Amino acid sequence: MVDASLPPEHAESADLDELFRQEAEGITERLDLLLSAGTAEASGEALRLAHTLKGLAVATSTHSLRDLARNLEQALVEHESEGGRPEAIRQAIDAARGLIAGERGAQAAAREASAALERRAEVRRSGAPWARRALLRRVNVQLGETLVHGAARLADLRQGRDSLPARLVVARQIELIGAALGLCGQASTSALTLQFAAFLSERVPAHGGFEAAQRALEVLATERDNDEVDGSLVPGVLRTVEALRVSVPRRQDEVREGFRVSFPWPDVDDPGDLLRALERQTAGQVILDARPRRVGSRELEGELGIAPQRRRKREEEGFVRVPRRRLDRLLRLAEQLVVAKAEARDLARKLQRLSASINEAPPELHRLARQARHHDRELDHLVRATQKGVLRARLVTARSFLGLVRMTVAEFLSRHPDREVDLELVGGAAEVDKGTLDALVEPVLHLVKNALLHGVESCEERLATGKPRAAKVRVAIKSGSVGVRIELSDDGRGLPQDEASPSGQILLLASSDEGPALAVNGEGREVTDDAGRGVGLLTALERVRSLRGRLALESTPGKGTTVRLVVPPAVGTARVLLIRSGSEYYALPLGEVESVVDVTGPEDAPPTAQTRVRLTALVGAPAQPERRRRAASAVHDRRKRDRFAVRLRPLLGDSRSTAPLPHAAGGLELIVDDVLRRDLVVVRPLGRRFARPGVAGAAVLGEGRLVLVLDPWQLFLSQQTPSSLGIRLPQREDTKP
Amino acid sequence: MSVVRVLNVVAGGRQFALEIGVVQGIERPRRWARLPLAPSYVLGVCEIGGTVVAVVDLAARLGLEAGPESHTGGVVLLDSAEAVGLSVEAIDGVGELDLEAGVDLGPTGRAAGARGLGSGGRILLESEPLVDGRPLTSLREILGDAWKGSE
Repeated sequence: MVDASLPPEHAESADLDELFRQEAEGITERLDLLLSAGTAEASGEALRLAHTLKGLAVATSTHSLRDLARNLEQALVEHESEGGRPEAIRQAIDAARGLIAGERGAQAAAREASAALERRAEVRRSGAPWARRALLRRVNVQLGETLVHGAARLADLRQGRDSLPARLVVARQIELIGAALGLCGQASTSALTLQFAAFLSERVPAHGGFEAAQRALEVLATERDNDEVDGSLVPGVLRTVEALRVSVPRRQDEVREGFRVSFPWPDVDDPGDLLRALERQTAGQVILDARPRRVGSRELEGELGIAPQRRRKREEEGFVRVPRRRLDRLLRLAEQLVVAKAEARDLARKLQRLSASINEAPPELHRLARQARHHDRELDHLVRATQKGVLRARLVTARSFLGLVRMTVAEFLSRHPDREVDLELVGGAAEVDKGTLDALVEPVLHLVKNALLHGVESCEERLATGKPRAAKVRVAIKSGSVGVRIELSDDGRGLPQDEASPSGQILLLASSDEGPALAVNGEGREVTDDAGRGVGLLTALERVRSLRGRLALESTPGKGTTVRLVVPPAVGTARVLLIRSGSEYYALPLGEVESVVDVTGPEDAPPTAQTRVRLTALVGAPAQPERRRRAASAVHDRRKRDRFAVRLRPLLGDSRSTAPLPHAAGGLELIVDDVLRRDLVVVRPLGRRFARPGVAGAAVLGEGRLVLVLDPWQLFLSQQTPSSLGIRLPQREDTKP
Repeated sequence: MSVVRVLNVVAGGRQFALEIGVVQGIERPRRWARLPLAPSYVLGVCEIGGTVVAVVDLAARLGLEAGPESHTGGVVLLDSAEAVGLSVEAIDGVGELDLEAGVDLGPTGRAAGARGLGSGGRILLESEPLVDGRPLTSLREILGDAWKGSE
């Protein structure tokens, strides 16, 4: 028998249908169980079962089930990496069960479940930088088209030829674009667009409104060309938002501070959804028909009088757009110049030694040696300047990055009116490699959302616990020789205490394959669009790990959480301390070194509260062929051993702080055989396939030696377990009745 | 399979071949550094033309004992997703390998880093499994008698 909900175009017998039905029912039952198990093996098995289900549906030509199973399969692939038990997957399994059993309305339920899975996949894809850029380009095209209407409606308003329905339609379109821009990460442009939409939807603007709106159009037309992140126009945008806000008093109540704006779609976190809505409203007919005359964006710019001015500015400042790969190529050439310079220096030194060693050497030889030395110094200066110049060309300021943080906070607060945040952003002038900064956007925004949702309490709750009404959230970014350091802190409720360790106070996350990593269990927490499944923190950790960085987290219940994130330079120079351990040479970033203590003399430094570890124990013994090992150890035996303790800066906070830091996280000393010198090196990253935890990259020294640049903390943490780190958690304070 | 152009190399005292299309160059790097905590078959990293290249010891990777070093040894740079090279004991030049009369080892062979067995007992290597860091099955076990025959 064939059910109507399963149209079997080629079903040949009732027996076959029954067989299919039994098999498919068994699969859905097992899928449900496997997803409940939540293990990696179970996820893999579920994926195989979904594949089988799809095969069965294809074999029996049951198209609706085939489509559903295909989307389910795709969702399970993502589920394997993301974990959890998404609602969309559960619904899809239920719908599949309904289809197989031939329940009434099963087809509609299956279509809905399929669409939900597709939306889910699109959300995931929209998180990818390329997808985000593609979406942004589409939004920007829409913005350009719609701005023309905005300008026309503004002109109508000014001249008293207002057509309310047309104006509201345009306002609604601009509002949608604003929301989509916000979800694409165009923070300030989104704020301005939304505020401009609010202005257009008002019938009688206040005094100065037209000027503010015209200024908004100018800024938007300029911003529209920026398809990366909000650029240097942010301050101007904010001023314009402020002016528009004043011109639309009705909205004033909704804007409490900064440029917080009313976000019209609280349940949507997918730019794709908004784009579909936007396209429904604007695609083809709506825009073209509503337009009084076709005005190109160039014409609009001419009308607004901004194009000539902008071009002049660019010409004056001499900006050119250069693909990043060209800069990378220049950097590689500059690095090769370092190697060539090292060899030239070697030759110059040899020549000088030769001239000094020969009695009655011809004066010409002395002169050549002097000249070689002089040219070597000159070359050294030029090479360093070249390197520095090329590196600077890749740097961008962190202003736009912090703008995204600001927008994320603003957008969150607009959806959570019971919370207030005093946001402090530090380090906008820090210059960071653009590639690194782009890669950090996602994990940092994850952490910000985590802090807002799980850390920051409602105003009422804060007042009840004696805290100020507004929570303090601080995001600071700093760039230095160690790389990029980002610190995110809040004075909220802190991370929930671990049930297994009820007195849990400090948690530590280290980025390594085998090192301690704390999985934050999202169970029992509020699951919303923002966060709650517990994967946000781990996703951030994974991204930081892929950038060879590390993430440390300190949390005290009731007092707040601080997350510190360090990512080594993608490429770039670093000031390092060169050290010897055994027969090998390494470089430690100077920014990580607090001091160096000679531990061989009679005035040995007194034992400190810091953990001491031999570097050889961390990097392991070299596995050399026997004949090489004998030669190397003979040389090594003649050298001094364990002469210095390199004291590292503490991983978490200030070592002098009274905060209950874990023992090892408070301080670490590396015992090394020798400390050679400070140097400025170009750090070249290792490929991901061979990157080891604790190795930030490699560098060629002036004398031509290749050394590994270590991240000592990461190297140490990667070989520890949480218990060996000394994470001893203080007892919970007695609670008074 | 038919006739393929190959680079003939020696590792662990045994003849191997790499399809010429995957070879980016042959280098004898001077600057090396050991990579801490890396698998034993990773010799270390070296600097070649401004790039840091990870080098895999082919003999160790295939579970063979190191053979005698020769002046024709070097690092074969591979066309791979990341800068990586294979250290070999000797490079015997470019030649052709007729696999018609040989054995296509299929997926089982690829899991051991080999694509096929050519006439004359030379083993055509599959480069990616050799450098992707995953465990390799034993080539000796897969080839069985053919392994002895190729010695």
